[in-house]
Amino acid sequence: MLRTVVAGVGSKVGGSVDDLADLRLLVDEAATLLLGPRGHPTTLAMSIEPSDAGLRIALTLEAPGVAPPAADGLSWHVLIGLADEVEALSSADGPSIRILRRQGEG
Amino acid sequence: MSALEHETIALFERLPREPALREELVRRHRGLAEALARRFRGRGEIEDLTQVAMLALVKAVDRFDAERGVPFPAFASTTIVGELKRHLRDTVWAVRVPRSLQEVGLEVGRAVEALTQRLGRSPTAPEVAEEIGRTEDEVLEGLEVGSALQAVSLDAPIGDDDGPSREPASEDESLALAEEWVDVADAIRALPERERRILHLRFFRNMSQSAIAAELEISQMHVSRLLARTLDQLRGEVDR
Repeated sequence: MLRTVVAGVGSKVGGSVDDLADLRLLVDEAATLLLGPRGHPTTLAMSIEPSDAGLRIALTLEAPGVAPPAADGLSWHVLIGLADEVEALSSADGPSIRILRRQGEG
Repeated sequence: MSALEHETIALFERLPREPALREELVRRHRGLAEALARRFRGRGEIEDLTQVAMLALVKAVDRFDAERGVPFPAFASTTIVGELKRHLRDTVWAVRVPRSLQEVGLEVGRAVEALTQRLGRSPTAPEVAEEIGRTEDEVLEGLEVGSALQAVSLDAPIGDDDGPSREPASEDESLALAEEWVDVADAIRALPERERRILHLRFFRNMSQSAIAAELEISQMHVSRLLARTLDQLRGEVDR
């Protein structure tokens, strides 16, 4: 679902097939990182904001008080490899990953 | 034992003689079924889930045997969760990629190849749409299907792109990967040559999927598929 939405928005802002493929992987990875091995169902919110700098994507797990994911490990490598900026932080709603992906790169 | 539990047990004892009590028992535990259904929301429509949970509750009422010493709510929860899980599993099966969509996936894949060659860059979805006379949404759907991990059968018809890569990844490349991604180094070393090479080209040479596809003489969709599958596999290794 998240993959489809992000690809849809990516296409609307003129992303190439390569961009869309990367965006899908990015969102997959960020969601995996946030959800972790959590056993019970939780809500994951995603916002996508096209800007001059590129697409700003924020994924937030609705789990207040849960620490943001550690900035290491495989998923983190993948995020850094595919995005231009990645940040893991704690928001009022719960742990969050913010991603900036510039248009038409790699 | 609470007063409520005593009442429930008393109702069950009368049930064989008074079948109308079945409704009363279902009504009393409706909240339990609804709460369990809500725990699975996000994986299905809440209305469907609630309906499945309610039917499971009725089944639990019919099958409950008070003499086994298990309180009814515990027995009912097990039955309801079991039915919800089965429902979700079956629904997932039902949405497996239909034939017609697989065809769109293949068509889109071929168009992406052709356009990448012609334009010398990765095409946009509208460009692909124009090429094959479909809508942008259909193209996006086709791309999604094309890179879906489960759609293994898509690998076969493309045919020409499943051979080994032209040259094996050099020692240097593997080493660079292993050093940077130190925590998954063992898992990376265990990958097939081609998958390791794709990881290297994408993450350390920052090459686009199309460029990697050209280098390895396979389709972009195939790169997309292999990359997703490889990352998934590595994740599994790391979590172990």
